[in-house]
Amino acid sequence: MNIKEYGTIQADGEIVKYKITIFSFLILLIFLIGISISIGSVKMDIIDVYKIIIAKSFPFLNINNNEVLEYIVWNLRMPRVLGAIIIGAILASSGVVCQSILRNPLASPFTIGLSSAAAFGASIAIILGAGIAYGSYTFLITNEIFIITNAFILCLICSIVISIIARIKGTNPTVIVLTGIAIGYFFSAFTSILQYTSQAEALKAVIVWLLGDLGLLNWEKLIWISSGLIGIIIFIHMGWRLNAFNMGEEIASSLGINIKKIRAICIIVIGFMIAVTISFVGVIGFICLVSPHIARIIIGNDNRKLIITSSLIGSNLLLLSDTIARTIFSPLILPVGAITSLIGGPFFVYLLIKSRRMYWS
Amino acid sequence: MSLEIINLYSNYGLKTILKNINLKINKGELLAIIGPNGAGKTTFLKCILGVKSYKGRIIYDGMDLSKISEREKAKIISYLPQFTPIIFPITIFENVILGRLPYFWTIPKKEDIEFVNKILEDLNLIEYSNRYIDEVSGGERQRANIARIIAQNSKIMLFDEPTANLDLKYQLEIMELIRKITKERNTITIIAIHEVNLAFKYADRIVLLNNGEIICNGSPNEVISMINKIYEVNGEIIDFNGRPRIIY
Ligand SMILES: Nc1ncnc2c1ncn2[C@@H]1O[C@H](COP(=O)(O)OP(=O)(O)OP(=O)(O)O)[C@@H](O)[C@H]1O
Ligand SMILES: [Mg+2]
Repeated sequence: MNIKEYGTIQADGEIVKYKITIFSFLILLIFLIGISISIGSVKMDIIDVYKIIIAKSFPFLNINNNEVLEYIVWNLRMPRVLGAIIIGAILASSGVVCQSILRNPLASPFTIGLSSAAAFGASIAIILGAGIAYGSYTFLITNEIFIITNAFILCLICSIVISIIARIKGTNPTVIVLTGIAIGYFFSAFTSILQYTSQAEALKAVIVWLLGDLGLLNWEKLIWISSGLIGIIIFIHMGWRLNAFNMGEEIASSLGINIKKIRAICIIVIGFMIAVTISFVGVIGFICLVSPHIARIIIGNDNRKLIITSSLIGSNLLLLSDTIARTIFSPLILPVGAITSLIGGPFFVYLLIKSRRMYWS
Repeated sequence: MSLEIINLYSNYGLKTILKNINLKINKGELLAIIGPNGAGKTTFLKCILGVKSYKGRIIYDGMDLSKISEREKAKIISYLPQFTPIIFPITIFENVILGRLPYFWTIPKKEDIEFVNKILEDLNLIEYSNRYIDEVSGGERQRANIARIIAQNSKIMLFDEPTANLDLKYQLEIMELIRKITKERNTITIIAIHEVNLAFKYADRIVLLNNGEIICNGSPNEVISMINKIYEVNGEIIDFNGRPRIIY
């Protein structure tokens, strides 16, 4: 075997490993979908679940199913499951890009203040019953749409502010991270003041929102949330340019990367992805941080592979967490955000200890 | 075609680092910049690359380099930094193929990959190609970085301490390689280097920089007499196959 063949064989080995990883997580996801849908107040056979999903996805196959079960699967449980998958993917991939462009393993859309901004937006809507999107009218009963729009707008505003700072001071990622943290504290302070001055009812609503909940998802909301998937496509397209950041700012710019511009664009896209997800389901945080790192441990730091792998990990993690959250103490449903951290945390630490590579050392 | 630097000034805050640098470098010329620590060598290279602000003009082939877009500039200039802080390490193969980044958008072309494989082979890096850049020796990492520069195939190559971390064999081999590429591809090559004897052995011309000013600009034989004075040492100058060396 000559040297060249040796090199190609090694490269192929990497690709095989990547394909196996993707394949395994896909299988796991399909399995989880079945499990998750089959359990609940009405128990059903996992095979029926897959049959209904196939029948609904490909109507021309003319598969007949029990109509009641079909309604439960497709209208009641599917939006929640699909929501977990889509939101997990969006959160995880935005986390990867956040780490990569800011060259910081601790950076995530949540550490740079986006979630605090959204939380503040939601809190205003819940507590004051008013949305800044609708002027200063006060409503006695809060309307869900105000919560969503408010959270969305504030999250987006926050990302715009950070991206402007990135455009100005963009050569120094630490400045961006610290600014984000400061903005986060700023919004959190407002939220605290609002909470402090609010009624018990409203306070509980805010806390529930802050913990994150997938229970309110329906098909219509899913369509809105899916728009965040565009971000993943954009990031995959930018994968190689994001890789240049791995080698440091100087090398990246010598390779023709406009660092400030890419950072600003990515932060806006991340802002949109986060806004469109957490304004619907509340603050589900840990996935942004942990999925990228799990993916980095498994397949390395090539952003093209990382974005896809980490999205799949995010989907699996959120779906698993949500399934556990709604079944473990059924009928009591636990907040999914908390379960994510409970499952993801120990698993992450386990991987850190087991992994050969301490890749940020 | 040449690279022309006209009345270049650069400062960090209130401190002027480069003072009135005027220099012309021709195609196919290997220029070594030497000078004590803090002389301004790195700053000078960064000005040419355009990541450091400066006053004055830097002209390549009639174009003002500061007016060219990043991507187009990356096809003209490649750069090996003195330090590469790495947080998320990638493999050597992934690093070298980054050199092709100015030539593709989403996915590297087949030719890009073949080109990279050929370079890895030339630099004896094939067996390391899937190793992580922080898990190889300093010298192997340096060679991987130089491989990336070669892959970038630019008209101007800037090297900041290319021989740092290399053993004697690779110091000579890398200098040999840089010289060979300079002549073959007819590039403008500037290296900032501490090993003065390597500069005397391989460079066509040497610029001696001190406190941000050009003290001396000429052939190795013209520059060597200033070494003892600027570096405040007492070396003995000898002649080795027509090129000078300094022994201490
Ligand atoms: N980011 C910076 N901020 C402020 N001053 C700087 C900065 N970088 C370099 N300097 C100063 O500029 C001067 C020139 O630095 P430069 O790095 O160009 O020197 P050099 O010739 O490359 O030195 P060395 O041989 O040690 O690499 C030094 O006095 C240094 O202290
Ligand atoms: Mg230097």
